[in-house]
Amino acid sequence: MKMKHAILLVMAFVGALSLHAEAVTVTATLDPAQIAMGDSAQLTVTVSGSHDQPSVPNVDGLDINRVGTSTQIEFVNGNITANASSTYQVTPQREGTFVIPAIQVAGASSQPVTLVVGQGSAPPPPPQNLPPPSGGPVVMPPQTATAGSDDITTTPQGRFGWIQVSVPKKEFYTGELVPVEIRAYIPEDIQSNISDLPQFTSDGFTLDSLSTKPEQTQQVVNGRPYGVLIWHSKLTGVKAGDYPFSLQMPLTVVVPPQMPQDQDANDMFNSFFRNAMAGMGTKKDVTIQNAPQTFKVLPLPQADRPSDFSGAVGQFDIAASATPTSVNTGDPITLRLKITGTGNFDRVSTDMLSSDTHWKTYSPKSHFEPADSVGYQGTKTFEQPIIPNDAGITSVPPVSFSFFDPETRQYVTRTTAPVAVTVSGNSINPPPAPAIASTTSQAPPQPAAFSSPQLAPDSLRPNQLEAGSFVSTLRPIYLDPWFLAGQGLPLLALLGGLAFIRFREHAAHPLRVRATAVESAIRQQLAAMDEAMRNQQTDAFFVHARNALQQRLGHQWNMRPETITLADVEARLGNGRENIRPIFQMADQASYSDLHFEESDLRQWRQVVLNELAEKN
Amino acid sequence: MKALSILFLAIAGLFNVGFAHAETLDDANRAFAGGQYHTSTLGYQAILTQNGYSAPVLFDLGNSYYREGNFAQAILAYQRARLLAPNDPDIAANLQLAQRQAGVAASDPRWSDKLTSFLSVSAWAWLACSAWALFCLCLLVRAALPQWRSPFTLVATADALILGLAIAALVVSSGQLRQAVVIDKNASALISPFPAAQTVFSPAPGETVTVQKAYNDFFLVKDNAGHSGWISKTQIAPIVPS
Repeated sequence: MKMKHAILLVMAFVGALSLHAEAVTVTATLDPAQIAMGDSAQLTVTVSGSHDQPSVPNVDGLDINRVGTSTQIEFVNGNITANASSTYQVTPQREGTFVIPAIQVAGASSQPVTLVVGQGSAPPPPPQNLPPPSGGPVVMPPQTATAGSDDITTTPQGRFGWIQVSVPKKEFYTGELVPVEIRAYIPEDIQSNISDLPQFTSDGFTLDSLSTKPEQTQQVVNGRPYGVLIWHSKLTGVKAGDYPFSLQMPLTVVVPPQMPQDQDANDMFNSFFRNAMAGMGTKKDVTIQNAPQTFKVLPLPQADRPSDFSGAVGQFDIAASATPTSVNTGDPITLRLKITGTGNFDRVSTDMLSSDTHWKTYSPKSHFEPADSVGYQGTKTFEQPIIPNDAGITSVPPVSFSFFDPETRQYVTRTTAPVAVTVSGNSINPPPAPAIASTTSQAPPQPAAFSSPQLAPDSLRPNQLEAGSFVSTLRPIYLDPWFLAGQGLPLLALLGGLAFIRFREHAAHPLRVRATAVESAIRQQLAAMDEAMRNQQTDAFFVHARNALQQRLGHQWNMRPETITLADVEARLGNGRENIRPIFQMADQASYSDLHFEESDLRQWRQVVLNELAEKN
Repeated sequence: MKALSILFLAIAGLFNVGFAHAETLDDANRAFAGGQYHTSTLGYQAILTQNGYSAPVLFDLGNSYYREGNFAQAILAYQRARLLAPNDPDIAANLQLAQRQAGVAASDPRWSDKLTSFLSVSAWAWLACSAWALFCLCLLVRAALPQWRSPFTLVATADALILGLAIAALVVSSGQLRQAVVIDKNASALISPFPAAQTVFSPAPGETVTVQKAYNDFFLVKDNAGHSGWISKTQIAPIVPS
């Protein structure tokens, strides 16, 4: 009881705020406005700016019963809007036209609404009674249970709503566009949030994106009010075969706690209490969906397929026009082709006229003007600038367009009538040479309207359509300093290459190789000699010194170094270069007797060796 | 990797530029085809400003000027287009037509001009560049591979001939660099480069003249008849913009 009072306080506070926030408005809507006997309509009275309950007057011949109340509070930019909607079920007791007078609330009043009750209108069937009517749109009823992920509760039939899909037929061709209406029925007496748009799963179809702002309406089904979201879209079969079609929409619902059964539903206090308690229920993720139904996608027949068929499937008519109709050669004419009808206009395409010797043509541009919300019906207009090259042309050649008609199950090619034009002036092109004419026998036939091409040198040649390649400047590239500098590169490469070749040849000469080897051997001997000097190994010092001199002399005398003896030195050098002989003598003496020199002496001998090695002869 | 990325972006940018102007050219062509010549002229000029020079777009610009009745600018555009595509018969035909409409004499091309028009000036330059590089390469291979000396001598000789031909073509065509088109219908060539100087001759709009030198705001020009005079820089437009 305390809780009930708290909620009342909150509601009263909100009500006060709403009164403070805006003026009172009352609206009344009746859906549908025309029903048949035995059916019911839904009257919704929405009060904004007041928490007073509307009072619906009695109308003779109508049974009006309140079935629910909901309150919506919005805080927008600091402004508070409180809308209380009361829903009534209106059941006629006889045929005729009934007017529900203006409904008064807190000094404001709604507009009167009219209900027409007749015999002819077919009511929407309740969800459990939705067999597809024969010959009419295919209506898929909801499933008895909702499939979903692990955390999705299996819902009893219709408890949390369902999806109804209406398509005009069950068999259609690849590429054929089929309008589809999707209705999501969501009960209004359960608090729910739509988590996502209806999700589509099928391998054989594509479904155009659904709007995030669907049409919204309300409908009473079996005495229960539903909010209905309506999407209009297009379904297209992409590959042949039998495919199920399934739509699922996730919802988060708040399952209200059990209420006492003895409360009066029409009692305003209990109605508010029920609404408040509804928000305190248990949240559950559920999925509503339609009953999967199999559609058949038929392949487009290969036989008799026109060469210019672009994939258009539907029923179309075409008409051509041209402006202006009186021009000189080289002057442009705009050729228009209007394709009107129903079908997949995104695949409606035509090249219109192709360039030939008589016409210079540009690629056509098109625009589509839909006649319905999904683009299933409408007119696609192609505009192509064309330029006559020859005087004497009296008409624009016919333009054809091919499509597949799914009703007759045949390809259809429609051809426009020639559009009469007058082309004066002189021809741009010279007459074709016979040789060329013989090789172009497969070219499209000349229009019958063309006659007597003339050679005229004073006609402007038509524009070129491709932009070609761009250059940043008209200045020749050879004036670019970088280009000029770049010409030095081949020269540098040539000079560098020649130098390298010369060096390689020089380095590979046998004498050069021999000299290099001798110098290397001398360096080794000198290193060993220095090592012996530091260790005061007199005998080793002189042996290495002699070896070094042998390398030098052997190179100069063209002899093997190890064969040069003291006798050779005396014979060849005579009295010259006297310092060599003692070194050879010391080396020989060291081999059979001990010699011992101090390091300072060896250092002097080392200088002698270096001097002799430096001698050229 | 970074260099590769930059290269990729650069190439992508080039392609992007290539695709970006296509719609604009199409629009300009449509305006032209629809008889809206001033609009198409502005469209072609915008394309050239944004993307640089292209023979087809210059040709289309010339046609647009022609349709507007501005034959001098049409001749200028055709002349510029011919620099890039000297062999295009449409350009030559429309240039001749515009010159005839402008009432200016179109001099018959010399044999050397016919020869050099086989390629554009830049193409001749690239040919010379390639021949020069190949010539150097042949000399190098000749030195490195004595056993192949004879064939490479032959190739080097042929290269030298091509190089000489290309250089000669560049020399001949270098005259184009100094040509300009008279674009002002009130243009007058003066005896000296001062506004108050006496008029020597009055070139017709669309006439092609050769610029010999410049002084302040004047060019010394020579027409096909051999007349020389100083003309304001605002009254002529060089075929090769500086």
